Amino acid sequence: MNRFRRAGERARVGPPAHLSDEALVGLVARGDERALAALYDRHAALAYGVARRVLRDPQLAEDAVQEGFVNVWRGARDFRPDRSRAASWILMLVHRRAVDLVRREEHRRADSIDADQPPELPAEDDAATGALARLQREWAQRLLAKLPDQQREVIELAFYGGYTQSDLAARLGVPLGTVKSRMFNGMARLRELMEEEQWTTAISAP
Amino acid sequence: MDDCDLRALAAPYVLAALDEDERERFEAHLAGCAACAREVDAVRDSLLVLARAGGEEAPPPDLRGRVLAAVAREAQPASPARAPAPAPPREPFWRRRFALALLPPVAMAAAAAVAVVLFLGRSSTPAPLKQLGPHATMALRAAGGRRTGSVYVNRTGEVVALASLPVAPAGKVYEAWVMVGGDETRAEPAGLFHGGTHYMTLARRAHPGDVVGFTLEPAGGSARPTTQPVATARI
Repeated sequence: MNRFRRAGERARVGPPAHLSDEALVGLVARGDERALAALYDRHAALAYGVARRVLRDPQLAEDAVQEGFVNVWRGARDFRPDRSRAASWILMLVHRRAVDLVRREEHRRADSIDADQPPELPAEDDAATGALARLQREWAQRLLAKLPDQQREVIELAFYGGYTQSDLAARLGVPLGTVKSRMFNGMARLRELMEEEQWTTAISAP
Repeated sequence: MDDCDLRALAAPYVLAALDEDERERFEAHLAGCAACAREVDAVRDSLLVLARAGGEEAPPPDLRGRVLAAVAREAQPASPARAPAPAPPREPFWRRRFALALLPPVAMAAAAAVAVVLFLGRSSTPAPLKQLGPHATMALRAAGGRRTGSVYVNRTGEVVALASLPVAPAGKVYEAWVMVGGDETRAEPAGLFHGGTHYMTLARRAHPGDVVGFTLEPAGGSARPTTQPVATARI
């Protein structure tokens, strides 16, 4: 327990702006708090956007972002930078906390009358959203629109609605196996589309 | 072999669309299956498209400070009086997050006897309590009200718990929490514990009105309690 640097001692030094996300995760793995701060600065807006859409409630969305970034800190040593982007790993951790929280909330007020309302989407032209982010959003929406409707439906409902495959089968009135194959095929198709259009680079540019 | 029948679970896993028990089983499997781990890594970048399609939203400005403070709490030793050393942690994370003053791994009956001696006839002060300095002592009580240990808190809020709990079932672990103001929805993780009778220094400080509690959680711990506490003490 006494192997850690005192908190805050290093966080005040300027962020290593020239480093890649993956290099920053490597520094986080070695206990560098300013590297975590730099990752937060790069990805918090996208992560918070996801959490807000899943959870609606701003307070809970903040909790999801906070807990997600704490899990970035805890899990940094297990991240494999040669295999995927740090940005998607961070998003997965925040998204997972958001989904856990939305399931807990829905369990808590199981008969809430607004349970079937679609997520409240923030205004498109949020002042804080830069031109690049808007462009990336349009690109991503166009890419998703290329998926067959039924595949896109299960993927979007899982990601933004926090529904499990079993929830989706019940909600859509189709067999569980159908949900599984739509999700599997849809995610495979999405990967192909990303490669074809070289979106991996386009959408993750900081 | 570079293939696995469970590889198809990577996509729903990354989308957080598995049921809880499915997710737990897949995570346990992932730890030992290179093919599935690679598939999860490969599928994960698709999340960027989904996230980008929703768009960014600026978080409240004060969230940054709260995130960094939460991370600093993770990084800070529970007993800051001791000099920190710069070596990076290499132990599994459950050992990194809290200090356990492990009693020798004795059988439960013997451990319980030790605990009774410590409760009733504390002739010499155990080391964790010496480090704590002057402190108040609270009873740690099981759900039925039976005393199952003690919680010691010093003036600065550092907490040592002496808990005597049955050994956690396979795949489970006890997680200590500091529930701020006694509010279970504001439970902060404070360390993991496999059961038996142990002193543990909690990774969180606690203050009057807070409740220290233990819940059974999946191996590796949870960010929030997922079960009812098996034992609690009000500070």
